[in-house]
Amino acid sequence: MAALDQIKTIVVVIMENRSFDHVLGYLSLPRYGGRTDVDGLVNLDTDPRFASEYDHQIYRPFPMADGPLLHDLPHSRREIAVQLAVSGGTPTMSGFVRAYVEASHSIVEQPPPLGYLTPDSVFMSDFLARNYLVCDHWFAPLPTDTQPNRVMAFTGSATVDDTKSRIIPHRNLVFDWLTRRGVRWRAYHCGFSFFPLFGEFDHILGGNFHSMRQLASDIASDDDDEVPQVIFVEPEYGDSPVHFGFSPNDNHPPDPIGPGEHFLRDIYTALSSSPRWAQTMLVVIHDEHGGFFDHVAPLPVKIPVPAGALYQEPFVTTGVRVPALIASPFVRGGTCYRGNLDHT
Amino acid sequence: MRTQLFVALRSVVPAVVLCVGCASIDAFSANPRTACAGDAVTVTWAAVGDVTIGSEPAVADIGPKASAGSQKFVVERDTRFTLKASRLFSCKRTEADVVVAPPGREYGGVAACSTAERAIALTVPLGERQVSSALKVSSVTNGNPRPIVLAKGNVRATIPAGGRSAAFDREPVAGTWTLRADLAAGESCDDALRAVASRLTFRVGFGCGE
Repeated sequence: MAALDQIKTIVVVIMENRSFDHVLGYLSLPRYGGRTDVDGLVNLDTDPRFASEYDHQIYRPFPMADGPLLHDLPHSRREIAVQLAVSGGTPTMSGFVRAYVEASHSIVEQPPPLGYLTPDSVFMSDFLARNYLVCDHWFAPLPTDTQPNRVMAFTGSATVDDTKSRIIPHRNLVFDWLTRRGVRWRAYHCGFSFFPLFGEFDHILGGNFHSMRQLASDIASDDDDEVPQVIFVEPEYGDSPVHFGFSPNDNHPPDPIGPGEHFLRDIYTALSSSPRWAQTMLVVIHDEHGGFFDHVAPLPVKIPVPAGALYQEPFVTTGVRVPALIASPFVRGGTCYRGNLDHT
Repeated sequence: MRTQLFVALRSVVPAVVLCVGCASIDAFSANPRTACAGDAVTVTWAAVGDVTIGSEPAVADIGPKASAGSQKFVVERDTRFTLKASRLFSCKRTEADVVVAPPGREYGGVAACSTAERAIALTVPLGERQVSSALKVSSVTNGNPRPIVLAKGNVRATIPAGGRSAAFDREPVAGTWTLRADLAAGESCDDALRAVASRLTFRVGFGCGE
């Protein structure tokens, strides 16, 4: 029997707004083990791929302590185009500082978009990376912000290209897809779920939406015939209009990443302490890069504008790379998968 | 229905608040960004709200200012200028660093390739936004993975990959620098640009004074 057939439950966690180089790039640095199988940070002082330019001055990545930032980082469709800095049809990935200065009017020696975190700040991601699988070419589906990328993740196409307060038009919501195929699913939230933005309240008010507080007890008490085959776990979003007893832990700047790391630890602990862990796979990704630098150009992928979309200009690339980790007893520890992936 | 109403309200209420009571920052800079001790740097700002210019370490004459303006401040060491704009519903803050006589800096950017000239080239004008007129070159290093021809005014030097040149020593850093990297025999522009990640840069070591 193939390993995939033995997996009975897939758990998907989509965090917010961090790039691969920012969170996991350190894995390639000599002082953190120098993994050559991971396409991360190398020769930061000399490698031209890590040079960002603003007003003819070159800025390079620097180690950043976790903490709140002064500003959120720019990550709209227009601002990401500045970050990609396409020249001769090729994204040079050299405009991260320029986009930040234009958005914040802040010109500092160490521009936050170029900060990279280290294991003491991302202790749980580091644990997962060292003991399970890193996917180092997992891209956000679209070079734009949260809603379009989450809509891609949950419906397979994007009818919006920006993030606003509105009901998002959509087709083929993943919950309907799973239900039609008889796949048991469940979603855990920390308070204000993303899914009300789809305007379909049957799912949210139904029995498949549980509080994150129930995750560990559900896993311990579910009968075999009611164990979900797919589980979505949502963080508490920092821009949620209300917080029902959870503090933001979604990793979205300007909030720090520490609460998100504890959130991942809680999920991993609940899953891995269950006997069912032997048949479980945990997938942790980020919806988009959130304005943090990455040195790998997005993939050239023409994505047609779907019917009913609220924008006209098609996307011609994926978004920027995001941190992606897969944990399961079926995964060989400390490995990296290099194939191109996205949320769809 | 309630949620749709809530979503609609969320769209409208912030817009109203934005119109009547939120601070915003439209511009802020402190130039030159690289200075010598004793230089006067020009801080320029434009904001909506009550404006306060601050600095760390403190320099003379910081404090509340008009909502838009420009003023010179003398710096003796690395200084972070801050702009705080406050209004009824929000407070915005931003920062601009001035570094005094750092050991050096890297300049450059995204370069263009000419098939006719068989070279990648870039012009780097360094003016009063970037460097003090008192800054002098103490060394120049080519960090690119191939040789470059670096020129400024009447001075021109070919510098090997990773190499250093003294040809510009004691020249002012300010001015227009040009960088050129020739294509190898049979090399295409695409391959050459790929080899340098579309960028050309050079590192300048600094000195202040005579």
